[in-house]
Amino acid sequence: MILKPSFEDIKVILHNIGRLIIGIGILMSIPLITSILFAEWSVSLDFGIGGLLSLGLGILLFSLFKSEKEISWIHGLVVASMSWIAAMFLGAIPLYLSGHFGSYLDACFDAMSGFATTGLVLIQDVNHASNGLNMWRHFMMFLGGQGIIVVGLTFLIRGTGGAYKMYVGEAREERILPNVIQTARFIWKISLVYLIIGTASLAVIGLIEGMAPLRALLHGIWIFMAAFDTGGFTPQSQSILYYHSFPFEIVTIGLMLLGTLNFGLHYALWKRDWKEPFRNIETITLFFSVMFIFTLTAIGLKQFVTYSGMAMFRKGFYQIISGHSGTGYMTIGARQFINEWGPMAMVGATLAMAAGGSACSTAGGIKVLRIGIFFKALFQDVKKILSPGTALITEKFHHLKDIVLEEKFVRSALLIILTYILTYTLGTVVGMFYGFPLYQAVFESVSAAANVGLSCGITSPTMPTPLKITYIIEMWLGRLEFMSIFALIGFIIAYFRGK
Amino acid sequence: MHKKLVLSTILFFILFFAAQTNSGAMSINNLIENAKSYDGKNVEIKGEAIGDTMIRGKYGWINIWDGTGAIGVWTKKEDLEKIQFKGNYKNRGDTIKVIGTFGRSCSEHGGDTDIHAKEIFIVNIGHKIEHPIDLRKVMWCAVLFIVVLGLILFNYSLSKIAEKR
Repeated sequence: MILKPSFEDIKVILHNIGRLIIGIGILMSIPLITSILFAEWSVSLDFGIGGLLSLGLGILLFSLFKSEKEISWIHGLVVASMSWIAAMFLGAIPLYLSGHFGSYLDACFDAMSGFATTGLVLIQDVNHASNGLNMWRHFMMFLGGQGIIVVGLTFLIRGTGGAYKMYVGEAREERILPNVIQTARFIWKISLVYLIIGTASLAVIGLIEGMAPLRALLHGIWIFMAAFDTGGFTPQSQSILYYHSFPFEIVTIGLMLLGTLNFGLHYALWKRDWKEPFRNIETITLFFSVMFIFTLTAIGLKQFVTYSGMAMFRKGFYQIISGHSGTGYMTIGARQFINEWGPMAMVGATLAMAAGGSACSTAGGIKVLRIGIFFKALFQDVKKILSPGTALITEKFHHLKDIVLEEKFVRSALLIILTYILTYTLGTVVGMFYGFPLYQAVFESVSAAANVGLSCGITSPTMPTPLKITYIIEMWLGRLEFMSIFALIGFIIAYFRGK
Repeated sequence: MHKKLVLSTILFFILFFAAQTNSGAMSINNLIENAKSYDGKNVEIKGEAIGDTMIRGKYGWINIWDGTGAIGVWTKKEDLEKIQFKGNYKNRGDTIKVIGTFGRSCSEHGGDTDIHAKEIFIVNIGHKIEHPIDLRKVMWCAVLFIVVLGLILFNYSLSKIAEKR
């Protein structure tokens, strides 16, 4: 028998969503201040409306639905999944009011793409976008990369009672520090340190490469936010190709790699455990995966004879790191994937996107930890077959500590891998339904669900509305890694069919 | 007769200028879609100068956007210094015609798809873009501000009442 959620359950959920919405409203003050500083008065009104509407709705939910009931697992998961939808609808308001979007749905697409750190865009005429709008677009990625719940845990939620349950709902299982709020604060601390270093590096390069000082600084902030949070938005339509700068590419590769590392690994390095990256299953799997996929891509590019020598490395490696880290920065045009890369190199890029980065990082995709566990389990089974029947074969892996490979890890990893593959397939089928060839449909669907943002040209304001909605759902599913969304579906079913 | 001669001369110059500005300009999207066939060939594009002029020694970059796509143009420093307006939120950039060699994977610039300009003409000088304030947005802001303020005060008074109890 399914138990119908009580009104108290709904109150707990709405109260906490209200709290997070207040946070979104407050955070809109950053682009608001930016637009005021640059005398973009019309834009500041867009953020005034968006921010006040968020604050009003948040306060209303927060005060109307106060509850004494303690937050449970299902509450935490439903809050996590619904907060992202609320963030999308509210974050899209200033985007839509800017006049750069064909419809509110297009603005919602970019808002979800921003929060989920995907990087696919439907914005039009981005080259004439205001500083305030660009600040919000990139700041959404910074917030989404850390996690909306992490933002809430850091600044708005007191007590740890239900905090961990919401934190897990946002696809973050690892507690780097014993207390989940301390963990959330550590994630922010480390991100702010990198923000200062990354912005300064990019701004100095921009300045040396001929940009005006203020523009170099702004581009430094924005590109850092979308690189470290493996997002992929850029203030210009040509992505990173706009800068025509090798040093800029090198620094963004570094930032994308930092962003794709587990925050637990960052903590280990913070504590001067320099050996951890060389023992950790994630970094080892990531290294071998990048090498294998880049080799595959290089062979494909060589067959197609588009690039020669260093250019092949520069273009191929950049796109692969961008795809694998889940960023989506490009140093080629979208259509060049189709026209210049050839099928084998595109398979390489698709595999990189599908695999993704580390768990508990800002990256999306299946995640290298799960791929590592899958291969460990495979080796264990092969060893079992080759050993005498009485032999006890145990396999270990190192991920911040030595862990014995248990059935539950393998089962959990395989379930998520399978769910990702199903999601990739769903988007592919919808893409093919609208007439796109198989390999293009696969490429774009994987890019959306793995929160990457590389595009072969399907994503555009003129693409069919159901395909836009499909990609929004894929981005949401991919970012939250399914569990909290399945919990939300279960909660809705229980509400209507439970007793 | 004299009038006719003057008019014909003016007409000739107008047609000559129009021919200079529009002859053979292709869309950037068309160029990128057919990159293989245009690789290493002389091409002509026309579009808005956007973003930044990035001077690097005696040469530098300007990105040109024509509504179908954008591409980097590598040209002499003197040409870049002629550009008055670059497209951004506050400015419509100069419209520029570029004649140059297209490279789908330029060996000099790490495989970038670009154009090495031979000649650059400023067809139209850009201008400032006005962004008038929408009064409806001002009104919405004012209404929402009052509502939010009311909600905060209401919430505050409720919590005070609860504290007293």
